[in-house]
Amino acid sequence: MRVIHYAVERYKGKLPEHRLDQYLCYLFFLPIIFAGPITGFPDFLRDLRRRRWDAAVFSRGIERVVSGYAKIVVLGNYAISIRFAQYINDNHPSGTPLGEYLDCLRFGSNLYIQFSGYSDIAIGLGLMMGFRIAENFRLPFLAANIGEFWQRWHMTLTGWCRSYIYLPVAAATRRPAAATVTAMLVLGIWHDVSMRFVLWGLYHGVGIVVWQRFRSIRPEIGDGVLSRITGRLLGTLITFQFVILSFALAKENTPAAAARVYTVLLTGWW
Amino acid sequence: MTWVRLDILGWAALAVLLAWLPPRRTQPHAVAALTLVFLSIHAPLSAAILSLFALGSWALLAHENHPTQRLLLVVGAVVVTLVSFKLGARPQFPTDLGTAVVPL
Repeated sequence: MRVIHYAVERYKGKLPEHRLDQYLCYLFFLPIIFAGPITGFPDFLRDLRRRRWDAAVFSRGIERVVSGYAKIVVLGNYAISIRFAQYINDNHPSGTPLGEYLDCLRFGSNLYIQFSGYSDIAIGLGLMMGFRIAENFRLPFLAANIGEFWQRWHMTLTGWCRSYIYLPVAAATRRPAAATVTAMLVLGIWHDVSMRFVLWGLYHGVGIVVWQRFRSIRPEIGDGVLSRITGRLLGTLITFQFVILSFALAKENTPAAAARVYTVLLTGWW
Repeated sequence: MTWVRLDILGWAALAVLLAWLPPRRTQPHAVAALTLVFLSIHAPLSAAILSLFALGSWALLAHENHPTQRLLLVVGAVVVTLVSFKLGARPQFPTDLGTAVVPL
């Protein structure tokens, strides 16, 4: 991802003057080797040139690393993967609609906690080393629509897909909807090269296109504070359900198994 | 390979030390060298791939006014390798994010 970013920006002539060793320092930067975030080369180069010891920044880095470990170990590995999973197994077994829904919730929240924990550790280590690494998550489950969700979830990958997939495809086809679906398909395949993640990308891509169409025709909600708060709450609730239900595609091993989960969720309540 | 392992935490601590203790001009290089050693031990294939891409992309795109074919060659090589790597790492996803995405 970072090599493609570098190659394209270099091709466009948009990178500042730099040397080979600085490029190597960018690619071989330990904190972002595991799971990103996908930091841009110009930002890295700026910090490489300007970095200096700052005890306050170092302290913030330690806090961020501890916060990341707490997320992964306490929330992800213990609270969600053990206690919450145990609660679901004991009270709402697989095959019941509530059980399937809660399992989607467990999978999605664990993925978020684990991934944002990894990002926190990387960002914290970066700060401890004098580098400001780009943020990757910004409370995505509070997004009021699916477009906003993707501006808050894995932000650096979304930004990468916007720059190197969405914009070129949109420019070539003049069809933003096709570009959106293509970008989301690539984003899905980035997670795993399998049919379930192709479908997962398609699900989100179609969701964003539908949201964009709805946005252009939706009735005016009104300017009142109460209307706006109600609209935001309703949007957040719908987006949350839409995203949680998408995890059925990601957590099941085959599309057929995911289809069984959706069947239970749609027909099992009555 | 994940951050939640004591030995990996040790590597991270070493990286922080190397980011400040050596002479100022060599600090980032020391961290990069440590990362290469780390990758060579824990994921030698990743170390080789990342080194190859680093030097290859630099060599192909070093001069100004390079042709589009060179850009496509770099991007194509990265995409093909990434897809192959992902296919190989499929059994780990999503339980081991670290393995599935090295090198990013």
